[in-house]
Amino acid sequence: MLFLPAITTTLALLSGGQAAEQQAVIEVATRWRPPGLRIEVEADWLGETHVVPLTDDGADPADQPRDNVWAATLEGGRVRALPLRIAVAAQGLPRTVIAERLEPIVSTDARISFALEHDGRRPSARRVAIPAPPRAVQMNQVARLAMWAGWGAMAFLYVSWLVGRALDER
Amino acid sequence: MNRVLQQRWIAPLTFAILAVAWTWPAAVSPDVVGRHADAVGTVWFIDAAPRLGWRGADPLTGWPAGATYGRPDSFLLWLLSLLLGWLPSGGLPPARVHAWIGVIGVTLSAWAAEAFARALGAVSPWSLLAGLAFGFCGLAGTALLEGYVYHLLDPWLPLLGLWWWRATGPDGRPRDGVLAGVFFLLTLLTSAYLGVAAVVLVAVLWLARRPLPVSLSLAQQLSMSRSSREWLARCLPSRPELAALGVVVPGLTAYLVMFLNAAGDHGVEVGGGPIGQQLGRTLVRMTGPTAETDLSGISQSPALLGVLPALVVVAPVVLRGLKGWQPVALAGVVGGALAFLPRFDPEALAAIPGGELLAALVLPLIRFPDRLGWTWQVAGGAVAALVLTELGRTRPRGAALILAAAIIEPFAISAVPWRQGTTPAASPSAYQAHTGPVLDLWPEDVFDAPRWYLRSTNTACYHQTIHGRPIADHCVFTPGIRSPREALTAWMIPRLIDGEVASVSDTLSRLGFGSVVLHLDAFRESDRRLLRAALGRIDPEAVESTDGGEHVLAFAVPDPADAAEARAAWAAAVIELSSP
Repeated sequence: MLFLPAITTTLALLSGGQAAEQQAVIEVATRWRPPGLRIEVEADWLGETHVVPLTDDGADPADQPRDNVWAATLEGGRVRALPLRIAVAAQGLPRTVIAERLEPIVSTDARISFALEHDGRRPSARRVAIPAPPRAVQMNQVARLAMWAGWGAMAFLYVSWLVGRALDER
Repeated sequence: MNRVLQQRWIAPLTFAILAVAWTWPAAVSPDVVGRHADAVGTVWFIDAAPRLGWRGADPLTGWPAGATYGRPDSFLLWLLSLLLGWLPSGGLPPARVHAWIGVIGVTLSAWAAEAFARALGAVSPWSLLAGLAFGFCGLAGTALLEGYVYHLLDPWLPLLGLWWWRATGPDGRPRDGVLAGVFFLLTLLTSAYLGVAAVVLVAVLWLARRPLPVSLSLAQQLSMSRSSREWLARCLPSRPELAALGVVVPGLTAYLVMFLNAAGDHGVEVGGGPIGQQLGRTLVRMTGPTAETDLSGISQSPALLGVLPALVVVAPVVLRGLKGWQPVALAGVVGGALAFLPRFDPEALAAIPGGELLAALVLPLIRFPDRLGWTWQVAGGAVAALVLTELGRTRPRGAALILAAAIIEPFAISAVPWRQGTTPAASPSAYQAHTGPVLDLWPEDVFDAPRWYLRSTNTACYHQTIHGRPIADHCVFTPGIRSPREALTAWMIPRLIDGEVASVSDTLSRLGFGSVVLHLDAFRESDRRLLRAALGRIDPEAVESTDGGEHVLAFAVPDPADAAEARAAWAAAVIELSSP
């Protein structure tokens, strides 16, 4: 227990200052591309409303061109939560807010992803962890679970093999 | 420094380095570390602990009635915060204490688990595996991410395992029993959930280490040739066990009396759906976190797979001929199996004889069956380290590869440092514009923000650690009891939106509030405009701030009543507020 004061003193000396700036990248994944598609994010950022168009042509620093993930970067002071609205408009479709959310912000470089779909009648968007269509998100989840299960199986097979070798040597 | 001394410090130093990396940025961040609402809530508790008496009475929350938190999540955190609050400088900032409890807690817990493994017969460096399995497990990762860091400061459970294993063994001494009893109580005081995990460990070790008559068939009992005195001796507790009981019984009795008498109806969340579905979800959680895990406002992913179960499974082969490890392995397996329990529906339980009592006593403790997995981590980890020690004797390179995998696993599977989040430690400066009690005005629900009520409550409580004024929230979970803030906002927001400003202003004055702080970010645009206009009629010169991570407006309330008048008014107002 004697080393605890040493640890706390070291930690105190290492502690940095608070970050004043915040960045949030808003991403919307969609394969729906009607003529004249426009996607915008509205964010109420500490009393100011930012309306920023999302792009998929690489114009935004966070955007990869033509990967079906539209992106925009917002910047400002640190926030705990960000009220966001995602709006779309296209030829024959008036500007419509398709997602409204108060997003808890827990990082100074937050990434907030949505998946946009169109069911033939109207577009809708939902919050997802990675910028991909809902089916791809599901597949990603399954792949991750399979990977961890596979890791467990591999660990078991390796340990079993090692036990076999160890017993042979006994 | 001699070799023995060097070896003695290898484990804590290794765990300290790994803990700093795994809990990153807790060691250095000036922010509140934790991605969910319990992080700021726990910081509030650390700050408030010195003023909470033995009864947990807090005049600065639940204004104007005040609040009594007889059942805090962690009595040990309360004691620790109390001690830190007495430091000459007025104590460390609570956000720092919160973050460092994570780092130091993981280090100490891992070190204690390593000591347990060494007591079983594991040797360094293979014994490190036990510390990794316990201190850096998925449950620890969940606690870090969700913010209730006191779960991490639990060297007591492994030390309980160590001393109870000795006490119930053939060479057990009363001193072992006393120490086991002390560590049992410390585990219970760390968190009731950990206390339940400790009960599983204690019960299984006790049952498995004593050849109880109940474990033999009745026929054997009747036909055995031993004297009745011998038979009786085997039924009765040994001297070390009696010593443990001597410590545990008074402590546990006091704890249970406090627990059951504390405010609240001991309600639990209703069962989480059909058992089959729950089991499916549990299996997914036990596998490891997916990208979606953290989006729901919690981060539950115990991640039980990996090298630990692989080593425990081969224990009967590798440890053949060794004694003493089997009860520990059994305790681990039982704990692991119990972690898969579904959440029981209290109404369904009430239908069986004795079910109501069971529901009242047990259900509050197993609201999160996952947490019984701590028993698996501590006991399974010790056995796995013993297996690795045996493998290391003949195949050191192969064993080293497994140890390396065990070091990588917490980073790769739980991925805690990469999933961790922070929120600003600063608070809106508008709170400083007025004096007296403050009512935080948040919407009752908002968009689809996950676990909104907990987040808004804990944020308001966190702000109090900086502004220091009385607030209307309850800052510790008090099931079945509405906080004055909840009752007041439900009553006043519709009235303010309808423009009934006079009655709201009068009520706030009578209840002694010095100001109302409107959290603008959280309201929809239309409500925001209406509320701002309505409250502007109470105080046209509202103070606005955009620092501390929020856009807020603070409105002064005219002529607030004093504390005694406010309490009397609250007693009368409760009926009025509950009317539609």
